[in-house]
Amino acid sequence: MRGWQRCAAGVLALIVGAGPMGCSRGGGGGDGDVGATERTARMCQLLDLPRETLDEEDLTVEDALDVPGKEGVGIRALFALLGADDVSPTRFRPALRYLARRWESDKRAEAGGPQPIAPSDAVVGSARELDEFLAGGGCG
Amino acid sequence: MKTERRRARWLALALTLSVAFGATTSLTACTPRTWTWKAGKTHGAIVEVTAGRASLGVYRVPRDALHSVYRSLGIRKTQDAIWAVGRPPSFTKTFTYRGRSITISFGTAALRNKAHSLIYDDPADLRGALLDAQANHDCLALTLLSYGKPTSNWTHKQTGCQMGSLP
Repeated sequence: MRGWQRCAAGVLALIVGAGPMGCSRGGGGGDGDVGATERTARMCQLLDLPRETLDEEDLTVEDALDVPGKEGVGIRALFALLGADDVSPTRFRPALRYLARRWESDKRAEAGGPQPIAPSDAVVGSARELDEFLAGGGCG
Repeated sequence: MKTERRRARWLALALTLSVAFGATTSLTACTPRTWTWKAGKTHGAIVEVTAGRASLGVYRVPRDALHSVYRSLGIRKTQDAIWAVGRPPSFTKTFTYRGRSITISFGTAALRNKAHSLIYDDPADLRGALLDAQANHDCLALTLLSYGKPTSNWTHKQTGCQMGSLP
């Protein structure tokens, strides 16, 4: 074995050795055993970027439900990417779930598909509740 | 002689990277964090054995969402979105390139450690790759190893690309 081959073997052993050192990812999927406080904290963490964006655009979560055009699609894409509906407290889920699904409807509509369905009263109510929660410092 | 020097240089770099990967993994892997993009759903390793290349691919559906973000809010917000939610899955792939066994470890903490500069340093590169990926219905990909050597550049990939889905 030549020098560089020995070195390569060492490097690979290190890389392979480093792999199993990590902790299990856990935490990302089911949240059935997660308490309300932790759920809220996780939601807040995921909403950080959309919140910042809404503030910059001077919009609320309720506005985001139905903002038309490219702007609305982009903001809803952010919510879709973050998937906060999976971890949020139950009362905020209708709004967050709608925002994520609405992005998919927006895309279908852009491609000539049917127009998105407007948010239901329950969704709007959930968005208002989330706005109030955020305005009241619920996410710090 | 020149080839030996080149090999030595590359190996030194690989050694540095792997040690850094190992160290950061051991120090920070147990920090609790919220994982939102799951392996197999949004990201995957795209390995092209004949080119000794390994990339981290952002699948088609999340790439589409990133493109929506870019179109409406610009490249900076797209970078922010990748940074905020694009934590790569943890996995290790081994393949053979020119008779050599190469193992690339997308150790999560390690990549996270390097990810900020990978995401933010070259917005034009990311932007170009995202637009090409969208136009070609490809994965957005971050190549980390090419011809058996460490690299970092944004590109787009058809081979090995999957639909994926959002969380």
